Amino acid sequence: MTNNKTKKKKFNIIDILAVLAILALAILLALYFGMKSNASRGIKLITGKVDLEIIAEAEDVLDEVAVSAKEGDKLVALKRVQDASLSKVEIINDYEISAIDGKITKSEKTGKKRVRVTISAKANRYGPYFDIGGQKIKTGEPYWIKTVKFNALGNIISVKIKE
Amino acid sequence: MKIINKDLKLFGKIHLLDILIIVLFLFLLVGLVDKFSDGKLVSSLSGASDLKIRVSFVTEPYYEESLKNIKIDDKLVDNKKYLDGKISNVEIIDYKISKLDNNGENIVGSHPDYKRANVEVICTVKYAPPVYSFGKQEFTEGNIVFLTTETINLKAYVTKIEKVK
Repeated sequence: MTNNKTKKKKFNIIDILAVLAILALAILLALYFGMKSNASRGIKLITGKVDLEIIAEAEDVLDEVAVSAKEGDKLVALKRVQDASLSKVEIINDYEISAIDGKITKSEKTGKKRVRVTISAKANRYGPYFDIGGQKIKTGEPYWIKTVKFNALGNIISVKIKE
Repeated sequence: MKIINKDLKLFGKIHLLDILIIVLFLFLLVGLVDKFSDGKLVSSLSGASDLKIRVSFVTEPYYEESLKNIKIDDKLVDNKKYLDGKISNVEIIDYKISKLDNNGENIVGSHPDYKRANVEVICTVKYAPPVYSFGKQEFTEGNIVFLTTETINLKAYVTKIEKVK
């Protein structure tokens, strides 16, 4: 009876453990040599937190929504308050570019605002990669400006690393 | 004779999990050799070699404030990895647009907010004629690529590729 049971056993736990160990080793070695590759170019990978000043702007924001962006409000992402806040908020009438009487000019859009915010943040850093609450931080990237009372999709206009 | 029998053995001799382990070892070995040689194994198999080039780009229109984030000597990156390339020159230029005015005239002028930038980069690429590969991107004149450093990720067109001695 016992012999039959042993024969029917198809997977050996040792084999499975060996496969898992090799996979873990492969991942660790890839990470190690990835870092070594950066080091060979004289680059030290810095990880941890970094102080950033970010300027982001959302266009086409309804008047009623724009007024909800307030200085001092904390940013929210992944259902959590982030270590980042709005240090400056500028709200201007939104516009489009047109030509009037031979000149390229800005024409106001009624009922819409441009909301430009300056964000002071402690971002996560892994080498050249920064993120706040999972959102990648680089000039030119789309960015959700989200506080408890305000939410709009904009773009990152500028990123400065505070020394 | 069954190829895989009821004990999961191939031709009744070797267990499938053992084969998997051997294949994983082989992958690991090739991966390690490739990493030790800084990617030269895979490049040599594909016939690619390292080549230092100067690439010129013109960016899509952005706020001038954004383009000022492109700094000379900033290193190019690929997500979480630094690449062997840096910005060697930046020139911000007007973004010309044309619009019909209220009199039906075609008016050409500079965009009041947006500018473009001419950017030069010196970098080492993997060159397998006729393809220049840089990180995950391919440089060909006319291609749209991303110029990415620690602080920027801007869309740009490749306008010129020259070999550097």
